[in-house]
Amino acid sequence: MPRILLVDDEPNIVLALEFLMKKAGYETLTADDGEKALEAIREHRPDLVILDLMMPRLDGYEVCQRVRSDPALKKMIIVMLTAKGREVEREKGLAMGADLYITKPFSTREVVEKVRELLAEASGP
Amino acid sequence: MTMLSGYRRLLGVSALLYLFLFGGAALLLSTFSQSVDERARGLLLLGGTACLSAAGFVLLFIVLHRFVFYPLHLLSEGMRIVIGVNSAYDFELPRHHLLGHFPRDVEDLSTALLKAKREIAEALAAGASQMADTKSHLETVLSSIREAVIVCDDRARIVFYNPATRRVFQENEALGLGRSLYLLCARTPIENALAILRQRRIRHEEKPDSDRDVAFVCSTVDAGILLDCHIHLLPVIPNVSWSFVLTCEDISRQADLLGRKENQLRALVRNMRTPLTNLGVSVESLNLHPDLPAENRATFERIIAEESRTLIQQFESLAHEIQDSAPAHYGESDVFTGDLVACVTRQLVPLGIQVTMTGDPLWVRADSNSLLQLLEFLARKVHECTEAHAIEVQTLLGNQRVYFDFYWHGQPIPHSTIQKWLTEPLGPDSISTVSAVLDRHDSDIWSSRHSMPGYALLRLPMPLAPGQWDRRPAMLPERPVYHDFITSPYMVDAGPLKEHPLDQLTYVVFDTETTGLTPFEGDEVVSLAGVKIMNNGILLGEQFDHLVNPGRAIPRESVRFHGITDEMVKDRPGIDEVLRAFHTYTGDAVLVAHNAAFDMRFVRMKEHKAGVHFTNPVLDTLALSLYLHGHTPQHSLDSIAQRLGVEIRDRHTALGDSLITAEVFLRLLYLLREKGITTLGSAMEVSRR
Repeated sequence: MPRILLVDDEPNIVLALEFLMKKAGYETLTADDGEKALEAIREHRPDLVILDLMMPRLDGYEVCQRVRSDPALKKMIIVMLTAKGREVEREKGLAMGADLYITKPFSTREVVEKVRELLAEASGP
Repeated sequence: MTMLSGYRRLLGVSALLYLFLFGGAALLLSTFSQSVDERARGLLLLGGTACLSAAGFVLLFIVLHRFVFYPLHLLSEGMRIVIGVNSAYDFELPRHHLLGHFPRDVEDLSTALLKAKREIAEALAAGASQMADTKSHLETVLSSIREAVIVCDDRARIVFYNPATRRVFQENEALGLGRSLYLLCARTPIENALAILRQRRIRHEEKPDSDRDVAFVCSTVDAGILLDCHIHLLPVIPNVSWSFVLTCEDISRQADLLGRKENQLRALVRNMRTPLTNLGVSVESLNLHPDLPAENRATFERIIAEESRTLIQQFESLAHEIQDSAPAHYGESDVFTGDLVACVTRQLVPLGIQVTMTGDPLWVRADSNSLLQLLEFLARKVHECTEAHAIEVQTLLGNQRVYFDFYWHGQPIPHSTIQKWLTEPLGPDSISTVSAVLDRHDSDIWSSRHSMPGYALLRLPMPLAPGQWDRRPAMLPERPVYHDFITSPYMVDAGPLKEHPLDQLTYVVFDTETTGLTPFEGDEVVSLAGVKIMNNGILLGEQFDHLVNPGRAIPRESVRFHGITDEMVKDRPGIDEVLRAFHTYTGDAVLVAHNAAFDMRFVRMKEHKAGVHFTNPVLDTLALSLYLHGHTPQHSLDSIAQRLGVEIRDRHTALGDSLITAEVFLRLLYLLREKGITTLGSAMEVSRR
């Protein structure tokens, strides 16, 4: 069963996403700041991380850059989920190594759909 | 002078001749006389004759001096005044003289000269009236412009400004012809803009982009006024190739409002995203899963209720904020990336950083000064982080953006490092931070791997200038209107101050009114005024005129003299504040006053308290007049003014007296030049005699 780490300092979003992901049949973990996220990533090796950008301590860009510079975590999928909706910020997110950049507000169905696609691609041929 | 010395020489030669004659006769007499008696008688006779004729000669000389030589000397000095400064001069002659009709003839000649001069002046005035019309028309146009218009030479010294300039710079005393623009505005943004313009001209010498100026926002040196500026190079005029025009407008208030509003809006939009997300997620979950357990359903319903409330609040404040539409962006203009990078390259050479440009240059729309500073900052940081001495900059065309890509061989820069740069000021004298410039241009920076293996890049996107590919062809500049002030001689430097020609210096002629005559016994200044002289003319637009609160009662007898009462000065600043302003006003001008020692004593007494020190050279019209017209004891300001034909108005106000002194000084300068006194050093030398 694919494992998903949800990182956001906004509890309501974590709550909703956790529910939906479980419902879709994934195992979920949560973290509410960048440092806890990195710990969880190293300890539990999730297949996919849904990452908020603006968080206390380490921000999402930094978490992303560190994951990308670690060859052991090469296969991990990163989805940025953020209130930073400007075009230049999306571009920056993708440049920093995100596989997908989703701005808030978003449709839950779409998020679940995209996550399923990304995981399927990764486990594919 | 020549007449007097001729007269003295004549006297000397006669005395010598006389000595010879009688000495020789006495010698002959003693040699050839036969007896002692005869010799004694002969000598007595000779001595008597000698004494008598000597007395006669002395008498003759006194008569000649009194009635011929002295009147002639006065006539000669008078003729100098008539020729040079005052055609209506009334010859100051003694009542009795032996010159006959000669003085009257000279006076007739001077009257004829006065008449001829008037006729010439009238003829000239008629001929020049058309030119004057054009000039006054131009002046009217410039006066009605709301923005400050300042023309500067290649060293940023002001050669022209319009009346609005005084208002925009809030009556700053440092504003003056011939003085540096950088006494008023921050230096860096102006020099950056000029660097871009020069680069542009060098690049396109045969067809410059004359249709473009560079816009930027800068602050004033002292008052913290924010200015929206446009700068334009003037067409090349021989010898003054880099003159420029600066127009600026005070936007402190608007910028303040605009900045606050933008920040509020950005925060509001961002804050709305979270509640919207929660709302959407909850509603969708409820819809998708009608079979939800009651406990979960209750949670989602609580979220919906909470977030809806938040959203409504946010919406209300957003609606309130956008009621007034935001004005246009200040200080933005189209800049060529090639010019920007060339400027950065030049600025970083001294630091041993080599920046090279690759790819096609493009046009960006930006606040050029901030962008230039940002690019320089980033190049410096890339050098510090990567220790690369050679940094390449490539500009690429993106989606509605131009990317500035700094790239080097090595690893990307950590995000946390870049994050730290954001709050740093752009330079030592910049108040703007990296993130402020990025926000303003709706931009961001990041570092990642380059598509070239082994290379990393730092990317800065900037808004693309509209109409990138359909640039207007460079048009010939419109025929410019320029004044002779641009090539006026006072812009020439002549080495040490003392060797400066007198007519190329800037003077501040000043006067004080005081509570009394003895500063050491508690007398104080009640009024300080000054006017400037430049290019042999009084700058009526640059006057200094301040009443001063003396901090004590003004004695009645001095009120009678200058008319300044306790009531008039009670809300005025003290001498230290006025003296500081006067110090700014004078700059490095030569100070001039009538009986300067008196006024300078009051100034020196207060220098310490005011925290300023006047190191300017000082000239005294009293001393100069004594040197030029030593024949007369009349050297009060009134007498000199009358002698030199200066009309007396507003006597005994500080400003009125300054103006009279200035007129007097200009005429004394002319007479000094006639006598071969042409440098400041020599004028100071003859004043000391």
